[in-house]
Amino acid sequence: MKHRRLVIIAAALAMIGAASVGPAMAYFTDTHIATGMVSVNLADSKLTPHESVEDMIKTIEIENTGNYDVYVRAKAIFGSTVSAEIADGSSEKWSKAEGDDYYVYSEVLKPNEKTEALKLRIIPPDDTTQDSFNVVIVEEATKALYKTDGTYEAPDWSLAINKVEGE
Amino acid sequence: MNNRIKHPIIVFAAGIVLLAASSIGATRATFTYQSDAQQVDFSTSTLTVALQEERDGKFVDVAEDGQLVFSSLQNDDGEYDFNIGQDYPENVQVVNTSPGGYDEYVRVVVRKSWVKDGVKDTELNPDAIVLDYAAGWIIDDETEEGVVLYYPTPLKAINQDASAKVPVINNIRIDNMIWKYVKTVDKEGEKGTIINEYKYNDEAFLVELRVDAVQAHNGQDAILGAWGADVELSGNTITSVNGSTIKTE
Repeated sequence: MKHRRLVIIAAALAMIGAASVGPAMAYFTDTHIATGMVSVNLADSKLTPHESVEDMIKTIEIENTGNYDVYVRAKAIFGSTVSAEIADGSSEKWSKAEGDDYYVYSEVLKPNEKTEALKLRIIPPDDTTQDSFNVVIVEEATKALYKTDGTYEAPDWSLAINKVEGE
Repeated sequence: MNNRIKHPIIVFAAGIVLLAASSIGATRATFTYQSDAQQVDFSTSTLTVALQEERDGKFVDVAEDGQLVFSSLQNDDGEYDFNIGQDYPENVQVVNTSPGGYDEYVRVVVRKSWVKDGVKDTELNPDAIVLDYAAGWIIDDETEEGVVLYYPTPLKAINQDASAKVPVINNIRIDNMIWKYVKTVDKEGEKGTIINEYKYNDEAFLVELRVDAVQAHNGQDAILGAWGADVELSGNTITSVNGSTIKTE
């Protein structure tokens, strides 16, 4: 009985103690929260080709009708008896890539911009019995990715996003 | 010896009277007259902190609306228009605005995530949301989803010292890695047309910043009590957080 009373007294003291500890543990604080949310829109780019042929000179211009800055390149596909070369009057911004058949435009094409003209002289086969042949132009674009400082990364053609073929 | 109280009701009544008397005392105290000379005003010191974002060249307290605007990601028409991969200035600072002039320790809890239709998308990588933290903060608990930044020394109050302000974030960038999550699919309604479908398309990046301040007085205990962080101090400078190796940027 005596112990029980002591336990009750001890419990009461502990409760009083706990009540007094509360205010002593309170510290001055302040806090604020802020949030920001922005949507990201990613989509394909879009190219619109402009081509014409005159006196065996194929003139190619590519227009960026998408929403992203892109690098563009083009190549001509033809039979083994036909060949092509850059003709006079072609823009110096076009050059033949080393190691493949692509002609690469040196500048980034912004939305709604069009390349200067690439002029390809088509050299027909010597075989005069062949009265027609096809030349197919393949145009490709890859997004111009940005570096952290806002300048462009070099083109990564493994991420080519668009192919437009013209005849 | 019998210790039993014969009339417990008397003891109970006495208790009631005592309780009543104590409350009357408190009530009467409100009617006590004090002359002007005797009156002493006690006020609880106020400790406050502000998180400020730079918008159009001026720092704005974000506590009012709780919104981060990322104004450098906006074009002249106020629409968000920015390049993936490029750093944009996003200047956020912490300011000790305590009117009582009290020093305070501060920390900033940064949380990043991707959200689609208002729901957190846990499949996408928050690491693609890149924030450049200002120099001088102790970095703790860093994960892909965020970090806790502790400023090692107390901030002086704004009316005392220039050290009342400390930058916490300098730049924001969405990393080029998000271009790589792409698959080619047939365009709906256009047979034979193949398009790229980007996993991060139409997702929103979310950044949440929480600034906490606690009194500098008795700082070690205050930080433990208020934030649950076990810090070591050298003088008034925090040298470690939760016993872990810390790095300072």
